[in-house]
Formats: sequence, structure tokens, C-alpha cells
Amino acid sequence: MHQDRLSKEKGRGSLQPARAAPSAFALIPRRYRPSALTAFMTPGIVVMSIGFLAPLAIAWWTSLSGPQGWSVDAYAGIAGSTLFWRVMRGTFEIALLSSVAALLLGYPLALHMSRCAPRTRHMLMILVLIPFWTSILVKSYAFIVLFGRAGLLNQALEASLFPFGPLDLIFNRTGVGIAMTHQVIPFVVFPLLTSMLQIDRNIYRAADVMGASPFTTFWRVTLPLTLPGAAAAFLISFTFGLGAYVTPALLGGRKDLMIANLIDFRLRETLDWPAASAIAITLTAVVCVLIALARRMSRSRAMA
Amino acid sequence: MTKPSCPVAPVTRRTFMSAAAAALAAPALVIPGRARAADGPVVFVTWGGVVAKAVKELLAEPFTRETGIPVVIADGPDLAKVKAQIQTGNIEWDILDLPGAMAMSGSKSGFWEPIDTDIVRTGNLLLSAPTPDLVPIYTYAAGVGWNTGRHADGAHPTDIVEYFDVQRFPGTRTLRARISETLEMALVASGVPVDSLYPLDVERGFKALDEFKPHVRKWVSETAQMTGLLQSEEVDFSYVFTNRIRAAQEGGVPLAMSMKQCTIGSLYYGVVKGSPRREAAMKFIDFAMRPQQNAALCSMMTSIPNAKDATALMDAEAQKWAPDLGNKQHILISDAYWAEHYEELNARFKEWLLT
Repeated sequence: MHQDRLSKEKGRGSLQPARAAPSAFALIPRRYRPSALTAFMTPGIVVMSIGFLAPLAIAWWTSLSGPQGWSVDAYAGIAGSTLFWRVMRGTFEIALLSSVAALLLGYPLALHMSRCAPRTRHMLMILVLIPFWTSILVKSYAFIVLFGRAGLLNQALEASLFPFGPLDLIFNRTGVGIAMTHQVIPFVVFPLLTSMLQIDRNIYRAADVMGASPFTTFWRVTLPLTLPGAAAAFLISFTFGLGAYVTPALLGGRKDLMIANLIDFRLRETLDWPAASAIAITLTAVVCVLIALARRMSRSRAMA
Repeated sequence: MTKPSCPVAPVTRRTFMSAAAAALAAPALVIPGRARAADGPVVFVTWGGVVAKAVKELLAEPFTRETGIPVVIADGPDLAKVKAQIQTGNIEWDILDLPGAMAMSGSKSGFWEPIDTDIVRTGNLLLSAPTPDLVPIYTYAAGVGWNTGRHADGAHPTDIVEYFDVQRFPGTRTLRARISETLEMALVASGVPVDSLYPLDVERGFKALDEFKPHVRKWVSETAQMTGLLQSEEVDFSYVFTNRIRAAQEGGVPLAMSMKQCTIGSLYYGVVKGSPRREAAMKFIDFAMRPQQNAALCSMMTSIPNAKDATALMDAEAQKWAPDLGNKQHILISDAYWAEHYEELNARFKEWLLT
């Protein structure tokens, strides 16, 4: 059978070529020989170190520099700044709102996509991806045309004698929420879809055989199994939402200033690089803490 | 016997060596070019679009024809990038096209070369430079705009005082999401005479803005929205730039603005400190300040030339959009004042917006 043939190959090492060609690996003593996985990951790790860890280290260093060498003035400055705390709170609120909304909207969509035929699924994936690939500036201006006071939606409502007047859907928290939820749905749908597709179909069959109603199947089988995927989706979209910049600038009201706008103000207008770096490092630290907490919670759940 | 099912292609020495070579070669593609020599082209950094086109056709090409020095136009002046270039000693940019706040901020940080008065003749300027390392090339105007399709004559404000008068002219407005220009307008609207604006009475200005706050529908940070919101009828009246309204009108959009009372901002050229092409850059600035060149540039960009007698040389269509700088009604924004106070006041303003 197929299984036996594989186990026979295992003895020879299934990743080695059929002919034992003299390879560079042969020169390295067996103990220190890197696995194929390590060899493949090295270029990626090198690129990430240069492109991500190094700038992060530079930002960390800049945030601690002052006119006379090391100083924590930048951090003390932002800790005492009411502007910073207000903006942080607003940013977290907006990111949370859009992530939760995206999760609520994206979950049923992913569920449906995981159940339909592959052809339909691919078509639906393209429909989810096309807005994702569209420029955010174009999307933001389109939202103004759609949801503005003189926009298409309000015109349609007026024509159908809607009694509650023109809806105020842009230049406020609602507008930013709608636009960011729209922006973040692909980040939610794809991790969820992946985790849903990995569930063994036989589990559903077993639940059905044991007499579970569709609701019970969902509540006691699908939901617990997709919870890690949902948590990952939420975390990705939340982190993305924290860094939003263009959407609040174009569609937000005066109370919707985000952290990225504040960093930009310090970086490019006042040239206060230590302060800008301090804000960026603080944000990164907060996100790292959240991710660590999320992992701990998922681990404790797995053990329970 | 069928072939063993191998999930991953085997890593032979050949594939490993080529992958390693590619990984090591990759940084070579990313390393920036060597610093340019003193006889390279002068790099002029500006804002793209119409401005870049105007500078290229009316300044760069005639300058190169006359002196033989090539000029390259680059996009997107950014003080953070200038700072990085000066810190690393690798000066890529030579001249920057700088609106007031950026110019003064850079001057405070010591980014610009002192203007070489042997090469650049600064004797015939309408507005003089606030610091010795900048040359004001032209000024631009902004004022009250409206959509003519929605508001007939008499149903819209025509100057700054009326713009803030929500009783006489009810409707939603815009203001820019920055403190400069906004504070001056609020003070003028609250009754401060234009010629005694500076130093600004900050508390009075914020009080006037407090009353006006609920009527501002959008605090604009993207310049395109200033006219865009009028066009899509999201606001009734807006604070707009002359060049945008002119472009809108030429495109058939029913927008108009009042030239009765405008805010006048200045635009400067600055030479990056330590540039090896300093002399050629100074020659370029002198060339740009010739009345003929200045007038031609401002005609295309709908701004007001700073060289004396240049306004008369502009074409008739552009002259309509050039307010007379001698008219005491217009608010001349003081870049020297904002050089001192912008950081502190803008931070306070952003906090005020959040409450």
C-alpha cells in the first residue's frame, strides 16, 4: 500500500536525492548539518532582520537619544501628554470596533465559502480580494460619494421617503468604522477560511450521526474548532487597524485622530524624532503584550 | 514501482549554492548610489503635478539652455529626508520648493545654506525673506469658496468675517486641520484689525474657534478635499486655494471664490546645507527670480510673483487670480511667528479638536 512504500523510503531519508551526489552538506559534520527547513528559512530571516529588526532597533535607539546622549525625556514627554493618551484611546477604540465588526461579518462569509464547491469558492475569494487590491485613496473617496449627505445612499433614501432625514455616515466615527471594517474584512476572511477548511469533514458526519441539530453542530463543533483561527484573524485585523492613517484623515471627524497621524506630525512637521520613535515603540510594545496575552489564553484553553 | 512521493524538491548542492549566491547578491541591489559629484545635475524637489510641469518648462529648461547646467526635477519635499541626508553626508537634493511652515522649520534646524548674495540678487523682492537662508519666490492665496450651483450671489459669504458669520450665512463649512491660517482667520473674524494681528492673541482666537467649532463639518487634512467637498456638495462653504478653484472652473465645475479677502502664504526656495552643487543651485534661484521667469511661472501656477514688477508681466487670465499684496484687507501669514510657535500651538490645536 501507499503507506508502506513511504515508510520504506523513510529509511533512506525522503528528502535526499535518489543518487547520493557529493553535496556541500557532506562536508559539514552531521551534528551541525542544517535541515532543509533551516536552509529555506535563512534568506527570509536575513531579509526580515535587515528590513524589520534593524529599523526597529534604530527606532528604539532614537527614542532614547537626547541632546546630551541617553535620556528618557521622550517617554516622559509622551507619558505626560494628554494628547497622546486621548489619541491612543481613540485609536484602540476604532481598531477594536472595526475588528469586531469585520469578524462578525467575515465569519458567516468564511463559513459559507468553506462549504461551497471549489469553483464558487474561488470566485468568492476574488470578490473579497478585489476591494483589497484597490487603492485606499480610491476607496475612501468612493465612500464619500456613496455615504455622504448628498451621496447615493441618502439620495436613494430620500427618493423612497425615508422618514429619518439624511444619515450622517461620514466625517465621524461611523464613517471611519465602516471604511476600516471594509478594509479589514479580507484579513479576517482568509485566516478563518483556512482554519475552516482544515476541519475534517468526517467530524460533521459524526455529529450528524449522533443526532446533533445544525445549530448544535455549529455551537459545539464548528465554533470551538475555528476559535483559534478567529483569534488569529482578530489579532491581525486589530494590529492593522492600529496603524490606519489615510482612512481617518479622509473620512474621520475631528475626534478621530489616530496614532499614525500623531507620529507623522512629530516626524515630519516638528522633526522631533525621539518623540516620534517613542510613540512608535510604545505602540509596538502594547501590541506585543496583547499578542503574548492572547497566546497565553489560547494555551490555557488548550490545556483545559 | 512508482516514484517516491517527495513533498519538497530535494536540496542538491547546486540549488543550495544558487540560493546562497542570490541571498548574498540581494543587498547589492539595495545599496544606494555613490554620492553625486559637484558637476552633476542640480536636483530640484517640488510637488509634482502642475507645479513640477511649470518648473520644468519655465525654469529648468530655459536655465539649462542658458548656462548648460542640467536640472533634474524630483518629487515630494520632506524635511525628515533632508535631515537624513545631512546626517549621513550624502546630499541627494539641492534645492527644495518649500511652503512657509516647512521652510521655517528647516531653517530653525539649520538645513539651508545662507543665500549667496553675490549670486542671488535679493534687492527687488516684494516680500523680504524672514531669514538669510531662504528666498521667497511667490505667494499663494486662499479664501472663501462656494458652489455656484447651490448658492446664488448674496447667499454666500464673501470675506473671512462673513465666513465665520453663521447667523447671516447658515451652512456647514470647512477649515484646515492645522493651526496656522486658521487662527489668523478666527482672530480677524472676531474683530482684530488685519494690520495688528501679530503677535497673535491666542486665547481670543481659540475662543472664537470654540464658537465656530460646531459649524465646521470637516477639518481638512488633504488639500484635494477643500474643493472636492464643495463639488460633491458635502459642505456649503469652504476655505479654498485660488489655483484649485481656477482648475475646477477650467474643468467645468461650478465653483467660485471671493478675492475680496484672502490669506497670503509664502513659498520659498532653500538650498540644502552641504550640497556640492551650491553655486549652481544659487544661480538657479537667481534665474527663477528674474521678473520674466517669475511671472511666467506664477501665470501657470496661479500664484503671485514676488519679484517687483512681475505681476504686470503675467498673462491676463492669471492676473485675475492674483490679489494685490498692497491691499490691507489681505492677511499676510507671518512665517517668522509660526517658526517660533507652530509646534506648541498645533499640538494644543490637535488636542482642542479632540475635545
